[in-house]
Amino acid sequence: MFKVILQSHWSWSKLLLGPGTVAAFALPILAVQEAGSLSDPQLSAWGTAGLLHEMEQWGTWYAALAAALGLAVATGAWGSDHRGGHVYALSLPLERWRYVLLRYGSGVVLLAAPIVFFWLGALLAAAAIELPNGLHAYPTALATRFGLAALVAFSVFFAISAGTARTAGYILVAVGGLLAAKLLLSAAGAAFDPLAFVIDRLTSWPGPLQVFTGRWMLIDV
Amino acid sequence: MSDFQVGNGCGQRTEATSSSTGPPVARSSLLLPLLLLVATPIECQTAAEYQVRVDSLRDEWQQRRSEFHSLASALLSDGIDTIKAGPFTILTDEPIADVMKQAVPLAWEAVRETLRSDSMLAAARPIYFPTGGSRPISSSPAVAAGPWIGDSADVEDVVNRIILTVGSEVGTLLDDGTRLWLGANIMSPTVARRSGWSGSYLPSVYVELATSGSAVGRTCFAGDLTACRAALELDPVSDPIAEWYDTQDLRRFIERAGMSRGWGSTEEWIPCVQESDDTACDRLFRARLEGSVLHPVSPMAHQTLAATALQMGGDGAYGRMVQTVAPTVADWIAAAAAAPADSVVARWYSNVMAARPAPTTLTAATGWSALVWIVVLAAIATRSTRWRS
Amino acid sequence: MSNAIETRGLEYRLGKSFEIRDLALNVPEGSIYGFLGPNGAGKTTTIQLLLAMRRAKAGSITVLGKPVPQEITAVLARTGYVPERPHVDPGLKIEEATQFHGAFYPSWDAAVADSLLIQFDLDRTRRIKRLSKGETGKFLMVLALAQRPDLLVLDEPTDGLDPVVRRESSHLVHEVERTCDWIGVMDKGRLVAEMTTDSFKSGIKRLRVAGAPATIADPPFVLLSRQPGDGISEGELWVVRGWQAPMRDYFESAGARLTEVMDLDLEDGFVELLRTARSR
Repeated sequence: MFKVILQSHWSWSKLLLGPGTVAAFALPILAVQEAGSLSDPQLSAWGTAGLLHEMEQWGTWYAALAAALGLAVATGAWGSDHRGGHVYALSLPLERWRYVLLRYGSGVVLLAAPIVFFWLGALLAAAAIELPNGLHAYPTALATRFGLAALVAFSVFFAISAGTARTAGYILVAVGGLLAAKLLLSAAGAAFDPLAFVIDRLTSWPGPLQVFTGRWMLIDV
Repeated sequence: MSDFQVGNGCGQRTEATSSSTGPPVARSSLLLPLLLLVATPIECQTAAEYQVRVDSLRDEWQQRRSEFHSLASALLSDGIDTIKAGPFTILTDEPIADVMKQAVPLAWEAVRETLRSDSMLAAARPIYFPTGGSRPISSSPAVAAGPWIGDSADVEDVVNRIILTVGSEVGTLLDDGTRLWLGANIMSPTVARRSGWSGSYLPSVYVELATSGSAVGRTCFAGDLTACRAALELDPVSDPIAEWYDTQDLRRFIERAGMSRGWGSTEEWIPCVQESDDTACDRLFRARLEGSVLHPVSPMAHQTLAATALQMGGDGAYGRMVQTVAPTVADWIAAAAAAPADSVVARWYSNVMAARPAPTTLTAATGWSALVWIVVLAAIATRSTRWRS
Repeated sequence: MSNAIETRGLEYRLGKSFEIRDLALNVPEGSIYGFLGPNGAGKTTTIQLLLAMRRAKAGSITVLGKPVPQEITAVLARTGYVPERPHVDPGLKIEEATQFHGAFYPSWDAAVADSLLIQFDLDRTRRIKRLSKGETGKFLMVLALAQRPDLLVLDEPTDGLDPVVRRESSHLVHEVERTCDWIGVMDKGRLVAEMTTDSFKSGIKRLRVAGAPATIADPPFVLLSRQPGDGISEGELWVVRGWQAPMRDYFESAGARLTEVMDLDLEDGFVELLRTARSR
């Protein structure tokens, strides 16, 4: 059962997963190439600080790619079901929760490829550059974070997609409510921003999106 | 004028006249400065010279008595609370009195830990922290002025402000050159350490050295203590550019920062950047930045060195620091630490290396939190209902 | 004889305009049950309730002896379902979809699937979205049949099938007449009639009656409709259900004269049934 679900999931996701895997491999290498010439291993004045600055800038792309891959794979997991109104899945002799877990598991397996390739790219990038004294490369830590971020993104979108249209409606209403509250409070001159508060809770520890925030450094002190 | 009868150590007994009455000895701690002055050894002097001295002391006493009276009346009339921790006295307005009662002992403990036996310097005069509008006591010279504190401030915040105010207070005892080198409050590292700031001083200094844009900074990071001494500017520098930066530094700076500064149109630009002409780089750099060249390390590094010297010097370190008339910062540091400056630098370097910050890419907390959320979200997804409509 | 499908007091509501009320369905084991009704009658909704794709508001459902939705997984393992609209992933090829489907059914017979694919002339390498409506219908039938199900549920199964496959008639009612043992007629969420096909066909007649009084008392049959004559022959035209030959005697006692008894086909009977149901 898992094999056929994985195959169908792949057929829905391959158009995005393929390029995404290539991008995952290439990003760390591009980051190092951009930050300091690979042919100039002796990074001197302002090169070191500049290197760290570039590393920090590229962190945004890692986080964005992880989120995009998670979304793409989650969309592929439920694409055929959403199109068919879930009739086929519901006609199969399988408990709903078991079916969901099979779909989830296939997504995790599909994400393994870009995560592994990201790790390989990071290892290659770290090996290709001679680091100045005091700086270290963290390819495995970076790849682990990338993997966790991709899985978190996948889990978030997967869970939302697994819900009904009513669930999606609730989420939209909640977001709309936050926006409306923000506007009303702002008009009333209140300092409290409910939208910023919620975003802060989500993106700071122990919120689910905290893994995306902060510094993604392939090379650091 | 009152009459003083003293012995002058020269075997002569003289009588001086004074119109003022003698002060009751036990009346006020403001007599301390007077007692200190009186305790100064009296050398053989003529009667006239001695009278001048006595008059001076009397004037001093009168001024202190006047300040004391104004302080006492201000305390009584303004409803100001007095909070003490040993000899340390804090004056505050009523709205924050409760917070202050908790904060003052903690602050005093931190001050004693840093200044040790010299912590009495922090207790020289009371410190007033206002919470409302200005009061007459704010302008009294018998009181040190602290910053305004809002009535919603928490204890930790107040403790840090007290410590920093003490730092400002004792910092006035330093000479201008030392203060300039220090760049900030001598108690700043203490506050940083107490606050557990993630970017606090020693880890930041580590990063600063590791990523230094100056050759001397990088060499220091590599373990050359002589370079550290130069980076910390312990000795006078005749040519900062030549002593702190090498030609690669200059070229890279010009290449990366020069364009935004409009240096591309100078005649030295092309020879420096494209033809690797070191002389051109040096000429351009000096012409544009002489007198405002970047220091190898920030004042934060200087403060951590000073804190290391205080720690090594133990009791009396700060007192030696303020009393030493030092030709160089190195001498001043050595006096505080009661050890050679190179030893202080070595200890400082060791502390900085030990403070290497943990990598930020992935912390254990972040990793575990992400894993938990993955499991939670998967569990939520399995509750997907059959009933789609 | 036990029922393969049984519902009691089944209720379902969708919005304000559509509801199924007090549905009591009985599908005997071994029978072919034809579910008739106009568009919007609730046939597909009822099927989806039986397969736990919709949740009933009240009532009980038993399929293959098991309560639904409590044991729906066991029921679905023994049920082949061909929905009104294709439900398999259209991006898959026939071969892939066949393998996908077969992986979920322990009773899956690959040989049957292969045989039917050949019989229906379906190219395994073609994607489902490239198939015509008829080919898709055939493929869905292959999937359902290859499961070797105990229960086969077909929702509008002949829709889109070519005449060669459907043989001769293009009318659904005539197909039901030809293939089904039992008939259930549904209209506006209610089960209007449920009986064997033979009873349905034989029991409904059109009578030509002359001289009948305006009101008739206690007829031995169910009068479905009564209309003036067609102008060709004398008398009124009555449509009745439950007719038997000895009932001729009734007309004499009622002061009327039965001049002709005509058979109705299933379609006409179906129309009359609906007309009667709607008039009540």
